[in-house]
Amino acid sequence: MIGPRLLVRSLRFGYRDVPGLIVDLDLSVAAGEMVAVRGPSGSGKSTLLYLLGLYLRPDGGSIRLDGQETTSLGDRERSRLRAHRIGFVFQDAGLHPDASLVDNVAEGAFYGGASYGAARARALALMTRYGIAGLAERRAVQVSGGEAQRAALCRALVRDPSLVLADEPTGNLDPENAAAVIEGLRAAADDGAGVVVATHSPAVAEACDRTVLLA
Amino acid sequence: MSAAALPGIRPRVLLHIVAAGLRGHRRRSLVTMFVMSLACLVVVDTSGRTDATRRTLLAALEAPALRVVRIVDRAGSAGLSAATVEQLRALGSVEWAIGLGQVGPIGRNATLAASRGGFGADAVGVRAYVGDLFGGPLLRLASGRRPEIGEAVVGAAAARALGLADGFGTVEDDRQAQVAVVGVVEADRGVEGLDAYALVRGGPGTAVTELLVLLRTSRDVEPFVARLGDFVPSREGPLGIERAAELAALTEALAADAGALDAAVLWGALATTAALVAALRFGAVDERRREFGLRRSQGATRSTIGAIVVLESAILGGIGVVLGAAVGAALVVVQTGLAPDPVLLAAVGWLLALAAVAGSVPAAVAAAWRDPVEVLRTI
Ligand SMILES: Nc1ncnc2c1ncn2[C@@H]1O[C@H](COP(=O)(O)OP(=O)(O)O)[C@@H](O)[C@H]1O
Ligand SMILES: [Mg+2]
Repeated sequence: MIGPRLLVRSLRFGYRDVPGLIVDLDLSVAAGEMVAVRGPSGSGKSTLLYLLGLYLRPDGGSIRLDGQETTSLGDRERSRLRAHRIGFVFQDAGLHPDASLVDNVAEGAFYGGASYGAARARALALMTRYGIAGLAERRAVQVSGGEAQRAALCRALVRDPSLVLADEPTGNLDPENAAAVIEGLRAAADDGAGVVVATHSPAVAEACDRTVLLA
Repeated sequence: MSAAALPGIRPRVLLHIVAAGLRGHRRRSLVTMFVMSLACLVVVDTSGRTDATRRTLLAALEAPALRVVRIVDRAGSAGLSAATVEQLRALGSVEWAIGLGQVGPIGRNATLAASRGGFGADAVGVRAYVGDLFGGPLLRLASGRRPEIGEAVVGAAAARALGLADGFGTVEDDRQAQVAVVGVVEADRGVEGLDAYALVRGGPGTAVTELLVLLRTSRDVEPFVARLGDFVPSREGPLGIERAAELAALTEALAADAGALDAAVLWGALATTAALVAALRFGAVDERRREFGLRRSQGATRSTIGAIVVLESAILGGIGVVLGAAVGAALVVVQTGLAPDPVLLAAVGWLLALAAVAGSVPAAVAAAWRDPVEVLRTI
């Protein structure tokens, strides 16, 4: 792939109560690159990730994913891009509590057209890699926070994404689990994704190639 | 590949999600299903009973007695004849027709007459008839045989009056003419008046002053009466036309009550079902904001979210309708002894299932259009 995974130019966004939250932001993330987004609470880190995750529409500027302009796309196309190319990891794992861990992970491949069987097989393979294959049939409420977050990471990766977005992914974790998640994000970058991590944690920022600071 | 061309969720995976949703919210699923069953049961039972009543009415309406028209030429000037009877019998709407002559002479048992002398309580009216007496459902040969031209059969009451229990003998009329009696005829409701006569089979030249016509269906009665003039050779005298008194009342009852009640119950049930399902589904969707927001974050489109909600309702509605229809049908059988019309059952089931689906649409739209960011911020 030639060119960056993610190319953001002159991005502008504000809420009605918070105008000018993001002004003329430029950002380029290449395949294999892991970028930290830092800034004080309320500086717009989550908002930026929601823009990059195509949940919010910018007021101006351009967001290109694998070279494709996304700002003019309708909801259906943006959903499809999420299903195929964008993996999202939240501060909380955000799993379906009553579904099994493997079904939760497999869901990351459902909306991109994978069959149920194929999605589960890919999910199990990733879970093996991240050390949670033994918990595959446990309900999500029956695993620890660290295990749940690793499952959430697997769910983001199961679609083989171009872009991985993580919003304070280690915020709720002990150092050991945090290290595992950072390792996982790094591995996703090594596999060819661009990774953007919003974080307060110096440890996470250190593990990244670059830091973007929001004021 | 452009974003528009990227494939979306497979139908079977969608069904997986739907099934998991139904299992995961078991109590809500059961309540929705129960409401659907109950609605279906009530509609099937009510409409089934109404339909059974209507079918009983319809059956009553088709009883032969209600399809009989009696035409009497009191003045004897209409020119009715054996040919008129043949003309009527040839009509598609006519099942059976006979012509009767005037009650002329009075007859009595020729054997007994010798010993008693004079005519008294044991005398009966003697009438000629043309047409096939036993060709319809109204008259039966109770004993003896069918008469040849010039021979007679007697009604049951006439047979008793004459003392001819087995139907064989000779009747002598007040003009001393003798007629052989060869059988007893049993007359049903509608033509019960024939019971009292000795009926002499007439030839082609027989004078006819009364016609008894059985129409094929009760609906044929009025059109037949309207056309009657076409078959009466001379219209000088007034014709007396009689038909069963219950006919008009029954027809009216069928047209008005039965139909209107049915429709009101059905529409009411459909609207109630849709409203109940809408309320239940809104509740369910609200409870599942987080789930749907998460699915959106994983790439589910709005239409996928909407489809999950509608499909869940369709499945719950479908199961509920089948259960309700089965119990409702059983109830109808117990109450009326008649199995409900399968076409009616299927129609009611489909309409209610459609109402369930329609009722779920507002909740589906609400779920699909909820902003996922709202959910993501609270995860
Ligand atoms: N839906 C919204 N409507 C209005 N203001 C919002 C909304 N969401 C977030 N904000 C505001 O936007 C600012 C940035 O929020 P956020 O992106 O969550 O920052 P961060 O993740 O860096 O803490 C905050 O001041 C927040 O209160
Ligand atoms: Mg934040």
